[in-house]
Amino acid sequence: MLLGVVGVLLLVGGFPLAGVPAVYGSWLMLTTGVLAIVLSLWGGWRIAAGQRAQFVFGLICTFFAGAGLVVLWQYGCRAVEYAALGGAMWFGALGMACTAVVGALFTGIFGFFVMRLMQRQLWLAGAHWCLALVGIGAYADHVGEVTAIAQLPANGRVTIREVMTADGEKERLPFTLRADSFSTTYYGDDSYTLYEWGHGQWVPVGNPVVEVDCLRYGDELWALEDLQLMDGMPQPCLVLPGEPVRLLMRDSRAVRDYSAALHIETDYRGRSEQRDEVVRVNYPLECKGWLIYLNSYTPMGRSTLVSLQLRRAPGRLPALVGMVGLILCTACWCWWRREAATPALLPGKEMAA
Amino acid sequence: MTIFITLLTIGVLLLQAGVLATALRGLTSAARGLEVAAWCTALALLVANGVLADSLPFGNMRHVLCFFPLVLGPAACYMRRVRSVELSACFAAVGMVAMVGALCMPMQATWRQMPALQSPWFVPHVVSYVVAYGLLAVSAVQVLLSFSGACGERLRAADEVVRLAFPCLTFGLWSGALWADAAWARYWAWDIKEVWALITWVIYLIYFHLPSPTPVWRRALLLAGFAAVLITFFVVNLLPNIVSVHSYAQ
Repeated sequence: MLLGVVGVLLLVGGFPLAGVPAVYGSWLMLTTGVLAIVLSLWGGWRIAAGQRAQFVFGLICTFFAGAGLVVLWQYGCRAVEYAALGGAMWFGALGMACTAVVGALFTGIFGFFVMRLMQRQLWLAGAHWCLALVGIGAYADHVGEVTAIAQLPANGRVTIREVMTADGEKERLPFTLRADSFSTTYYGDDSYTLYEWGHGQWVPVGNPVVEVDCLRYGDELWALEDLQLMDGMPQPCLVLPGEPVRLLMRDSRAVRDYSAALHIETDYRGRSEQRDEVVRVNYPLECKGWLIYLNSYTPMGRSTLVSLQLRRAPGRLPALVGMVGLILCTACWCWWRREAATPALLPGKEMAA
Repeated sequence: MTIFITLLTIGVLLLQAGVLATALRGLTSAARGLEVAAWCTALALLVANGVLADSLPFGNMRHVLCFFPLVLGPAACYMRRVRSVELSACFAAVGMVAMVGALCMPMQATWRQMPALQSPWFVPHVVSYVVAYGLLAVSAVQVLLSFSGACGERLRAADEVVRLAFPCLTFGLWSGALWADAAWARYWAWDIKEVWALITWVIYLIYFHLPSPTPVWRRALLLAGFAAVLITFFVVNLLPNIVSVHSYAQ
């Protein structure tokens, strides 16, 4: 019944003409969400009837096994990274490798308990609880999430200590933030176009050939280093005086990746701590409970205006843990070895739950 | 290269047609041989698409449709060996439809993976959805066939396939949320594609929650679920004037 209501509400919002945000922010949707959380918790508890201690202990072991896996992956990768640097970094690599081994031990020991404790039914109960956890996280974020956009020139001259949140309030950050530089990489080889000024606009006349460090067009030759970024121009270019005036400009290319070097200053037990970090799309930075995302950028002549999104989300961790747990529990429930008959065809405890 | 890719696509289509014809006539060993040949050709098609795109070949709907036979072959094998459900003909039919769809799509040359797509989540997210959608298409075909007879057996097979597909669907949905959390600073944006993906998931969730499912309800929900899949995969992408953060999937 409740799932039906959720389905109908989603359907209503799923049509663009119905005004998607209005439907999903409505009190009906929020109330239905609370009901779904409560019913998920109750459903999971009911499914695990008779094996509740086993279920709770199994879930805790699953969490530790998962945490061990994360430690193994993260510290294992860092160990390889440090070892590749060589020299004194070998000691760091050794420390990382030891931590990774501890993670592997955690995974092995708690994984063993998980295999012994959890059964197909209990994974289904776990899926219910994980869905509730996602909902709890989402509601915590709905109530307490703070987001802000910070635009910083990537020249190392502007430092921010507070931001204007999406709600229009000033929020003081527990750190200072500065963008030192910005870099962009592009796909493919560079190509250039030569333009001539005529009839009030730039008309393309040809494409110079790229040689080692210069451009050739017929008998003419220009050094690549002479092409510079100029105000109002999207790409490096070179104005060639004469009659008519000509312009040599690099063609726009598809952006492969971009990153910004940030300087973060914070205090650690009363002492100043400085961090130089590189932020990229898909890889946010974490500092004092805030997440720093690289959103976009705007070229401004020789510099770049970097757009960062800062976010403090109290419900993020439970929501993300719930999502991972939901994936795991659903897979285990559906793919765990079953008895001969398909439970879906037999009206029993599982389906009644 | 484009001609080669077209020929490979036609090759996969014909081989899948061969699997369908031989499986329907009960020529099991011939069907197995053609199944392997179709899978190998689909693999060659994936490589050729990758070479042409100069990147991972998941950049547009044609790429994704070309990927369907590659995952459906092993899925048919799994259903046969582990779940003891013989559905080779059905899997081949779905693979054929995907290939016809791929032939109707324009062939783009190089594909540039934008920064937000350069994530470790990209390949697992797309692959899990391809597996899930392919399997759910097979379950929908089983439901349609159940109208012509052997209702209980067909619906049991559809149920087995949905149970195989549902974790993939779950992974696709929630891995997308985990990815969005890293890329867009929010795990859920109520984007139209996300909403329809959630609708699809909720419909199958309702299917699993039916206390004592009658054939009518099971058929209705499985067909409604597949209709939601089609809307998520095709309609949301192809309808003009729809603003979506998933517009690169068009």
